[in-house]
Amino acid sequence: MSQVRYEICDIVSTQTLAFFFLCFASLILSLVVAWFAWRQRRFAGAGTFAVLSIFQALWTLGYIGELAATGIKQKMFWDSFQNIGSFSIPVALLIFSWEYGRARLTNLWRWWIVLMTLPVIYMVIVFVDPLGGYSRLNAVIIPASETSPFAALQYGYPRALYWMFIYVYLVLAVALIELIRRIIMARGVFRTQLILVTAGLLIPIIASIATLAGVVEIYGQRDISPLTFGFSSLIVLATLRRYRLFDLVPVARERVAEVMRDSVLTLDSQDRVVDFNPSARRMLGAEITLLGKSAGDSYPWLAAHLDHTDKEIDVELGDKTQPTYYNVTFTPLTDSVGQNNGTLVLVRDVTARTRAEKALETLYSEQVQVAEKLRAVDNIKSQFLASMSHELRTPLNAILNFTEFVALGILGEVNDAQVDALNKSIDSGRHLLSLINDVLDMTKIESGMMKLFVEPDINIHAELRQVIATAETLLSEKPEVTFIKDIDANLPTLLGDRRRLRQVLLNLISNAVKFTDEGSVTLSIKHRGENMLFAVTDTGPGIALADQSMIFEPFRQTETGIRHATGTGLGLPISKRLVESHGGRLWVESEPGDGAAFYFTIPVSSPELTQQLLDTAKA
Amino acid sequence: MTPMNSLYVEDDPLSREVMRMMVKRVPHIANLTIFDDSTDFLTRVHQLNPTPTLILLDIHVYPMDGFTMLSQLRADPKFSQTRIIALTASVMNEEVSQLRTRGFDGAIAKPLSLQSFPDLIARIINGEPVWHII
Repeated sequence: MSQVRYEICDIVSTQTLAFFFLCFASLILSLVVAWFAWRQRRFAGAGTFAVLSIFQALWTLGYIGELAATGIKQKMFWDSFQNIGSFSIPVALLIFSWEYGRARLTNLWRWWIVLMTLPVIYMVIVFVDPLGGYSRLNAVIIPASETSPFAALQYGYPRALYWMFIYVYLVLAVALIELIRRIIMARGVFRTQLILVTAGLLIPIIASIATLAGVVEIYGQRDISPLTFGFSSLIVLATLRRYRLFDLVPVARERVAEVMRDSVLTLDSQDRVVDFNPSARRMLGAEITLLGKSAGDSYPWLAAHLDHTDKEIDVELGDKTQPTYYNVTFTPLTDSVGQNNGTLVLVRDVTARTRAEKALETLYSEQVQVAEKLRAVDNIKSQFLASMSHELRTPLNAILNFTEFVALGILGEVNDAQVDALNKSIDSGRHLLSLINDVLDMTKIESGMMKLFVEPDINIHAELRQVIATAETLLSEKPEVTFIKDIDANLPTLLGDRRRLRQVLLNLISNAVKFTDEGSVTLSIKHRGENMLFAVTDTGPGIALADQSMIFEPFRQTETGIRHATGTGLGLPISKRLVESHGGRLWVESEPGDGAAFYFTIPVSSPELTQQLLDTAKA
Repeated sequence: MTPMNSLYVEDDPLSREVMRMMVKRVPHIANLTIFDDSTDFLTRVHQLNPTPTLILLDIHVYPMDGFTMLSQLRADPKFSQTRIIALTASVMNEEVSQLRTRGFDGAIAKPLSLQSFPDLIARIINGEPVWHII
């Protein structure tokens, strides 16, 4: 018998040793994984995974302790010790499933506290009162036998323990659902990685469920979960090494999609939505129910473009008054052999920008229309001016001509009084004609329609003949005023509009004559470098400094000017603009009581100036 | 200098009357034919014999304006020696520069003046360019 007993003992000790070895291996692997994960704890999920592995190790440790213990008290202690691992692992798994591949959860410890409260209370109760009604019912030691080399602690499960099981498995279920959801939403390498990690983590759970359900029996209802931790840890470790589980990449990529303002929709090869980011929720109203649905059905504006090609489109949505604009990029996802396995759809809301662009376009086209209208109005004005000029003059010309015929006695004899009256009519008519000319000129200048009739090489001496003749005629009525001509011989030729130059000179001279009652009116013309300097000087009342700028403003006259009351007040403004459009300058120098001197310059002919003025005339 | 045959196209009756009176004081013009219709003028001018030496054209004539008449006259070699002068009440620069570029031999601004008109005609007949536009 003793022989047999020893044999049994030999067999038992071999089995026991093997079993212990397995358990230790499992413990060490769990610790290695924990260490490996802890080193990478800066990545979301890694720290939790390390904690998870530590719990596995604790469970295994308790398991080994219980195996090794012989007394019921020791066995119960180690049994209670295992609870630290077994009740905490599902919680760790749940928190890991939330964390992994996402942004770091804030207030992580709160979740730990919330979820661990119940397990911790129960653990404490079981430790403090191992044989109480909440802990173990009728605990006995079943001694080692042929079938079971270890003495086993056996007890009935109290109701509280069943409630704990329900709690723990609920937490586990939520964790698994979350992991599976994440597997569905993950892509490529991250999906494979998640599947392997989940599978690795599932093994002890399956073993645990199997033990509880009585499917697997080893050494008398012994829970084999801790034994599987080793295998599970191996798979997870391999996955970690192979796919670098906690590398920044998945987190960063996911995080980019999470925080970016553009919507990201991931479609499978059948164009069903398999993933979307938070922006898609905000922008496109994507809900969890969208997953698995056809993108074209959910978003009809995408339907026409789902042809698995790489492209970018612009879409306009919503009502016409407040449209929304999206810029949509389609990127086909292909596997290593070029098979399409989905499309990445990036939707950018460009409403603000597009609306601004459209508003600008509208504004631009409105401005173009306004400019066209202005041009049309300008043309009409130009034509109106031309026809006014003609229509006003024609009857006035007839009046002047017929009056002249009568005054000259062509139509019969007229007496002196009649001739005098008729001449006054003619003078008034001519004055009216010059007023019409001035108003038309000023209007043209003001509207930028004054065009010079430019000729090169104007001989100023020839032009002066008529000016001097007119000046002498004007002065013939003022014998107290002498006309002085101080004109250089052989003046160079000028470039410009002859008629306008004569107009300026006549205007200045007639002004001088008008305001001078005695003394002289001097016309001087000198060649000064690149300019010809014209000066008309009088010995009239002069112009106060305050009035000197006013006289060049259209429709303004000084007190003196108004007293003389012949003129429109346009002569000087017109003259100034005419000189300036020739490239010259017109100004006045005067002291009240000491006469006035009007100066103006006209550049002498030069090829550059010719071109410039001819261009202006054309424009 | 021989007095010459002249033509005048003018659609304003008062202007025609003024010209009729005026031309009596112009020794160089012996015979002035006045047309009141530019279309009528153009149909008949080519057949006129002897060829006129001076043609005065009003610019604002309807239906065909002075420029149209000028270009038709210039197209006929018969009028290569004829002096063609614009008479215009318009002093718009754009028009004045057009008168020159389109090929008028000169221009006289209205109102015509008995004091200057005979002299201007004399200068034109002498072959001087006359741009009396102020």
